[in-house]
Amino acid sequence: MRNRPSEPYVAQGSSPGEARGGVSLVPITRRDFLSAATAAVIAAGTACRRRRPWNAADFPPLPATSDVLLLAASSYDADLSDVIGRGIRELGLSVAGKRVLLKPNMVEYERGTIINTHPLVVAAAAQAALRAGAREVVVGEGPGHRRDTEYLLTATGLHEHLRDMKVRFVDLNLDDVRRVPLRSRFMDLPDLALPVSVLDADVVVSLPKLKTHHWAGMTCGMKNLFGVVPGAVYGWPKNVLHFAGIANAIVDLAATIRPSLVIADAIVAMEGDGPIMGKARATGFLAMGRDPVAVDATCARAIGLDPARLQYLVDAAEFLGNADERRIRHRGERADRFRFSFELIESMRGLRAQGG
Amino acid sequence: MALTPTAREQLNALAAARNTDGGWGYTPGRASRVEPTCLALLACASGGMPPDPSVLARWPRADGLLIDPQSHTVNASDNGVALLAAQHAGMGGASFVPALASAVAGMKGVKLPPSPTNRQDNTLQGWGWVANTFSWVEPTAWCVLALKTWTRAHRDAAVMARIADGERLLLDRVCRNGGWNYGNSNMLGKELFPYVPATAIALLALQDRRDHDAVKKSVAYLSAHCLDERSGMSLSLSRIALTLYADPPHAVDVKPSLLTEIDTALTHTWRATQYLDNLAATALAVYATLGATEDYAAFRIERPLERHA
Repeated sequence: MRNRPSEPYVAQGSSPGEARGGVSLVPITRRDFLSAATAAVIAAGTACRRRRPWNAADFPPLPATSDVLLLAASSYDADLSDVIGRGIRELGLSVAGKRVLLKPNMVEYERGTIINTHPLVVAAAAQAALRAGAREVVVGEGPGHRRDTEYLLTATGLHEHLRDMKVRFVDLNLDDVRRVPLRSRFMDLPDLALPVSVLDADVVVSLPKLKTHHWAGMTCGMKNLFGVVPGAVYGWPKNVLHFAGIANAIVDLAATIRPSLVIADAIVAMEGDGPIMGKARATGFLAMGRDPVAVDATCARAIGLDPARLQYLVDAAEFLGNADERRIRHRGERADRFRFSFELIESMRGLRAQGG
Repeated sequence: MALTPTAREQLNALAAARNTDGGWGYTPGRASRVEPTCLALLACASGGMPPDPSVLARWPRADGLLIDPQSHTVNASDNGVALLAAQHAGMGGASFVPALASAVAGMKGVKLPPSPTNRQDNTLQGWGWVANTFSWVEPTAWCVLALKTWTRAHRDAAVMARIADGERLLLDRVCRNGGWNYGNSNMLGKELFPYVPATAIALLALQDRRDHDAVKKSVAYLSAHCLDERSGMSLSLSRIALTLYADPPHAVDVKPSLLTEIDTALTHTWRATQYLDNLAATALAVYATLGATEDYAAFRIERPLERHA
């Protein structure tokens, strides 16, 4: 049985919600402890008794390896559509004739900050998908704090880019919705109402900004999917997810949406008190992959976090994708070219990898 | 105010986007939802084109509250807006309205223990967006405003008590230098910044508390920043709030030229973005433009409420 998040975390909007502070903890009862002879037995026994809130038949077996493409990009002035187009081809993703929904992270706006996926990355991804033959490309986001999406879109400059490219934007907060059952039940919720533009897309691409996150530890391709949960149903912030536990919500949304591709904007990332109040950190790369767990685990390692200490990655690695470095094939640039020790707020320092 | 070319375009856009069930979706071609329907009813009524408002009487309800037909959930903010609109879109006498007012007053956000992560009183209970969640600024503000307009003609101790609860929550969540965001003024030792539209809605709810320091600071914030966040929603709500605060006898100093600048910005923004086809924002803009002739009666709290002990 999973712990319900402790209450203080559900009273914050700017990324509230993780009772377990992002650190991997499997609840062990006193009886469990006393009945175990060794630490190894404890670990094995706990794993056996642990609830597995998904049906294995609903998910394909984990691939032997997952490809994560690391592409150097020192600034947003680079020809990003060429870089992303190459990535799409190398990863073998076919978008020809398909409806593609690009889901950037656009949670807030404050002049001079780097909170959101850079609009040039969004525009480049749209252009790359169109060049690859997509029938339609739509950009959709449902900001989690501000309901004034028009302001966010114009202030960030994304509106101008999309208008010039004649790419449609859908406010996922206000879209029509359908109730769909969740494919995993970490949240103890049977279903969620989700936007039809997401549900009806042939290809969903998560386009996050790589940031530290003061409750979840890190936000990348999987946490970015909070933005598909419609504010017009669940509010601003999307407090239902916080009550259900942020790590639980991340896994259930990723299991249900199953994005086909992640393109993480780590050209300039955020460290410290992310996802809003942190500091810019130039990291100089894009991470792309078709396995969101593998992309997130790779990005975690890049910023000095141990994926085995991020609860949502621990859970997701059991059935959704590969987090183990030995099962991730890094392509493009060498992974050790992008190794950083990100500043962390005090409560997140337990997530740091040894030597990270 | 005369029907400007922009307001005429916007009214035409609303008329063209009305669904066959009598309601409006958030964007043209989408299913009818509570909030855009209520705001569009208000807008059309202010434009001298009062539509048949019976869509609200027919709306699916549970325990007096309007249900979002798309998700089958009850949203407190939607119901606050519905109560506000129902009183001013030709439905004040409809039989469902008293039950709606009572049900809105009966909704309550959950109470939580103190948290070291921010400076706020988690025991205060305003309105959450949906059941069994915490209280946030916007649903609380819409419900307080709607209930205050309701109590102009209907005195009810339970309603007055909920209004007082909501006011306490809003005053607790104000940002240090005035204004509101979604509902946390600070986090992990850092002050968070306010948003223009959330500030305007909260000020509308507190327009009879203009003597309060938090309200004064927030009016100053809105006056200084209302043109910084240019969108149909933000500019419209600012226009309505600042106009009401500029009213005698306890007028706050709002320069008339600022209201003119907001009107100009509303038109320019419409030309640039069509408010992203957001019909709720379009309806608010129509009401901000045309509702001035009726002194924004739907949003006006005419006299200070008797404080509930």
